[in-house]
Amino acid sequence: MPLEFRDPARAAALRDALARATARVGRERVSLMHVCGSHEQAIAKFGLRAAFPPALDVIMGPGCPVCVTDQPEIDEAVALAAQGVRIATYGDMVRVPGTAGSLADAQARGARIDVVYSVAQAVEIARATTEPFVFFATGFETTAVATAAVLIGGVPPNFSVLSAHKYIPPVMEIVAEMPGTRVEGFLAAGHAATITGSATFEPFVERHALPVVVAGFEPLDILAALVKLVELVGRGEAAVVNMFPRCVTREGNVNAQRQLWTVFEPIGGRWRGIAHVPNGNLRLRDAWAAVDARRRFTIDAASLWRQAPSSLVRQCICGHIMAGIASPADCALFGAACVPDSPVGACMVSSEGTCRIWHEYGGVPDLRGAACPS
Amino acid sequence: MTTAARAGRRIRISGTVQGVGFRPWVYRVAIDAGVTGRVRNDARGVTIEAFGDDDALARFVRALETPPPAAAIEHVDLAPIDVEETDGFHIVRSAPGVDRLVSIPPDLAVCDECVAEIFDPANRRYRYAFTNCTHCGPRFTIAADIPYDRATTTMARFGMCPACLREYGDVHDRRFHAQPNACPICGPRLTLSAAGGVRMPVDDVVRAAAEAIRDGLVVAIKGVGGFHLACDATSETAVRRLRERKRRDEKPLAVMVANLDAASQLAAVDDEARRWLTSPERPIVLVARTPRGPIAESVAPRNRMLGLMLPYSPLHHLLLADAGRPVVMTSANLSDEPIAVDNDEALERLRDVADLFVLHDRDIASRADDSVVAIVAGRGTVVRRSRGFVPRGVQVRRAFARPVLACGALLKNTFCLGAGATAWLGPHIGDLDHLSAYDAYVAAIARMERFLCVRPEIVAYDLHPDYSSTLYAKQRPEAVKIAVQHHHAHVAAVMAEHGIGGPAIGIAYDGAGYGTDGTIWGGELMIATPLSFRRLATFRPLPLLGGDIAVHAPWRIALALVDDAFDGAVPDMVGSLFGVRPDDVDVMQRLLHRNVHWPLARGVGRYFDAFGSLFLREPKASFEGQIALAWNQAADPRVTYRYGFTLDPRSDCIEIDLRTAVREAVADYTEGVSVAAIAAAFHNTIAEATGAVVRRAIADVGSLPIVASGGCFQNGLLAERVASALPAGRSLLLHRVIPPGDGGIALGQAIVADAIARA
Amino acid sequence: MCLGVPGLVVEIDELTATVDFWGVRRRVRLDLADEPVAVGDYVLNHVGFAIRRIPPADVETTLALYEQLLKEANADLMAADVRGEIDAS
Repeated sequence: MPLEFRDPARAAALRDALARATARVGRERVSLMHVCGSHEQAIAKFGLRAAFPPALDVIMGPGCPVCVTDQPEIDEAVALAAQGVRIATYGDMVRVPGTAGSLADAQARGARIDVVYSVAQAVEIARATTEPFVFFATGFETTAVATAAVLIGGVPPNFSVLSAHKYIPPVMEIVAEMPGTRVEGFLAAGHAATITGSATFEPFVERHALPVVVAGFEPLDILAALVKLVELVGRGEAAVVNMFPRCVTREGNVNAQRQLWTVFEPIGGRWRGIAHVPNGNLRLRDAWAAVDARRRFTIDAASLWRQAPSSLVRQCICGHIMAGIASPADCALFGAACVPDSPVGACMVSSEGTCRIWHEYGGVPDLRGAACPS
Repeated sequence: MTTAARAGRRIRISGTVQGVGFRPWVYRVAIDAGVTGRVRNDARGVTIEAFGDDDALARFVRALETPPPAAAIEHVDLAPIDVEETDGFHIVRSAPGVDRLVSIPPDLAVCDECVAEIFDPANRRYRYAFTNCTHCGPRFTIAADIPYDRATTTMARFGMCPACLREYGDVHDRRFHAQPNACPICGPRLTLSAAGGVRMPVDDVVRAAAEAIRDGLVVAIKGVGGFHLACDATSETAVRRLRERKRRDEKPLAVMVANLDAASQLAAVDDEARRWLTSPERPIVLVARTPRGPIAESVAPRNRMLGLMLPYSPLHHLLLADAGRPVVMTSANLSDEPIAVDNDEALERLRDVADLFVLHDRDIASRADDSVVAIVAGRGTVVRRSRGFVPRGVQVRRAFARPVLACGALLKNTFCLGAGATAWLGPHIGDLDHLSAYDAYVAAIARMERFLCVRPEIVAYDLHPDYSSTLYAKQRPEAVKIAVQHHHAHVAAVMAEHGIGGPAIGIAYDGAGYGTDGTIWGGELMIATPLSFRRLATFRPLPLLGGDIAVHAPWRIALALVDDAFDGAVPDMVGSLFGVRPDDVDVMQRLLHRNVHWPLARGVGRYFDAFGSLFLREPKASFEGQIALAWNQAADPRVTYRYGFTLDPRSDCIEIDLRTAVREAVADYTEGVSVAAIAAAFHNTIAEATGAVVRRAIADVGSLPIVASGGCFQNGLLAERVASALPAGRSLLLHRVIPPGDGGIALGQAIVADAIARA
Repeated sequence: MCLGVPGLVVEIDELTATVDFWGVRRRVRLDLADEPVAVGDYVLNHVGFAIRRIPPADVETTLALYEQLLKEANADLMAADVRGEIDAS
């Protein structure tokens, strides 16, 4: 089932290099974290974990933008929908369950929900109507720049944004500071860094003395990045290394960054499973209050919270999976009550969710014991 | 085991202690000294509560004596308080206060660390023109209201990106609470426009501007306190073009150079000049230029001095580095209008003056001209007090009984607000004759009143009935209005600078000031207290032929001078010195002798004009004081002889009569003595006459401090010679940080008005 | 959503470009591009916006990578993501 590598010889060489580097670290366990759904997809799809030495643990942290969107945020969107506001959002978001159902459930009850692949598309739809129109904006900073761009470009008067955008670097700080955390290095997402630049990780590296390697999403790129990361861990060297220079520069896309920070400011907020992340959410600045759905509407989400969560929802451990302290294998609902067609938690909804990915690539994979691809 | 007894201290510090990195500095000092407690900004400055054993507290208090360079401590209050069991030292949220008597810091020239960053390709602020930190950057010019906080500055509309926010919130970071903090991602940006406002998309605005300067174009540049006009200072063509378009008289143009080395190549830069060139105020410093240097003649025509300035902001550093040569950096205005501050205003007003415009979107809330420092008697003297000084106040010896607004004079106007133990001089406004200057004046007063939370109860103004500042004072709502004689105010100002409360012998020499008898004074010696003055001596008056025109045609004063000295029988050769047609001379002489009451001027400045016009053969002056300046520069300081004079007793005071000096000078000239020697002898004569009066006064009233003020004391040679002419062991007290000319008179007005109001 | 997808710019109308993704044409906004974009350039596209102009030297390798991905079975999540990006307009 694990797929063939494009360049099997290089794959084998990297696998060996990884084994050697891990051995040189000399510890029983080396834990690394990545924060990108596409990375997890590549790792699972190519069965990379089978290629890792036993001591190496590569876990997915809170890098799935759908999954980290917390229930109260979903509830806000659902409440707005119930209040008669037309909602547009990215595909995966409609199926994520809130406290009392998802946007898809609200749609079934008559709410107007549009699935879009781009916020620009949402603006076009809003332009063609007069009803109040809210874009439920999810995604990390790479996606938030698009929201910023359309707002700067001008939107019709019926359009506003409910921002659930999140900002990744602060959550890395949280993970690094968690009591009992064993993460010794981070793999950073290549395309996100295209926007922010690799320099965005430098303060984090300085403060926490943990190395960060920016990696492409191609499996060989990921392997090579992991080799570099383990080497840095072994040497005790805290540095930011850009192994995706094809797409990532040190300062990143300044034009996009400017637009992002003109419209948004970082504010503390909740991430599913991690409670509070200081500066981890993106909120519209006061100058943009006119297009902030939270300030334009009075959102009555409290009524939803009075409904008791189902027993299934209470058993969901997405939060722990998000934080990287549990894996789907640890979840009683995984593959049974919780499957892609009837997801209980966000991790099963999104194509970048750990549970969905693991489910896709074969039951409960325990690839550590499997034979290595040659 | 015994533990040293712990004690507590509350330390209140007032002055310029906000916006200058003070609290993080206190934090570090506290940690080093081993005390615990807290520091916070509050209504009056900074309050510290420190706890520790006696040694630690003593160390701490001692360390507080050397604050960061940008801070200026006015007052420290120490009181013992009960010990608290605190953990560590903390910077605590500012206490909200109703009483907001806190100074907004003056603008600070960019610091060396920020400069290093903008030239470091690896730094995220590489080539970023708006780089700043807690130790440097704009303050007063971007403040729109108090208290000084990002939200009340023109930086309010720039939301900080996470990287800047992190610096802003980190107590160990050099940008902790740096209100103007910014970076290329989230901060202000430069744009380039052609005349007419057409935006020019270029990759690097500064590089493009530098290229334009090298090509001989005139570039308008938005700085910190307003716009400058810049051109290549080594190109005669470029400088002439700028002068023509600016309709600038022959006043010298300031020149900016990249660093001290560059400065030393153009002029004689001594230690004092160097200190001022690199100060946080970063003023224009007047230095003696190297003859036959690369600077174009039109920069400072027939002037021995050069006004040099080092870059004071990242933008200027980058520009000078790219230009690779000295750049004229003169204020962007038409003749004497106030400096332009808005993008649109500049594009409009300078449409026909500049070829290119470097604009940006960090609004300037208060205009601030560059300050000017002259080296007088070996020490730097602030002759124009603006950017870098304003709104810093000076401590006065006796606190004002009630708040005072002093309106200043007419030319080079500044106003002054006095409250409590501090007097704040407003920014240089300029000549109030122009409507736009007057509007700027009114607005600046209102702003300072708001910033300082001072509501004046007394208004002081100059005795001159026609000054715009006098008219302004008259229509103010305050009940108490006090007119102050011009020269009394000058003397009171220098007394205030030196903390002299009692009587002093005051010397006030300038071009003109309204006297209590309705005539024009200007060469005054007096016994003065803040409350009143007794006139000791003045100079024999010269009729101003044609009234005020004579100021710009000083040959008329020269004619009156020699006519008076020779009793009408002016020697023929003198006639040829005037540089005007003999017919005109005849007409003027006849007018002199008719029974016409010409205004009589006693100003020492007018004597300078007269002698200078005559012996330098300069019939015209393109700006007020131009000939006096030239006469000053013409003098050979090695010459020590002097001419004769008499002291004539009159009913109310002595009159210094220089007719002998005039005749002797003419005789010298006829015999071929050099103009340089004559000029020096002239200076020595004035000095000796001054000394003689002072000696008589001391014999009369005993030993008193001797102070000097007025525009003539910007003349270093005069100051030195007067100082030497004093009795042995007596020193001459001069201005240092308050301008000797009319730019400082408002301080004196405030002091006098306060004294009169109390009496 | 971590992924950007490369495409060829065939037409530009002010801030909007028509971009060709292996035969599929979509409108892509240029507001966020890091450099000026011209017809004939390749751009990396994410949620309907060009986030980077791909330097000509990198175009070939980039395209090859994605083409490999797209050859995968339809149900593949990664390929689905890539196709999802292409559908964004």
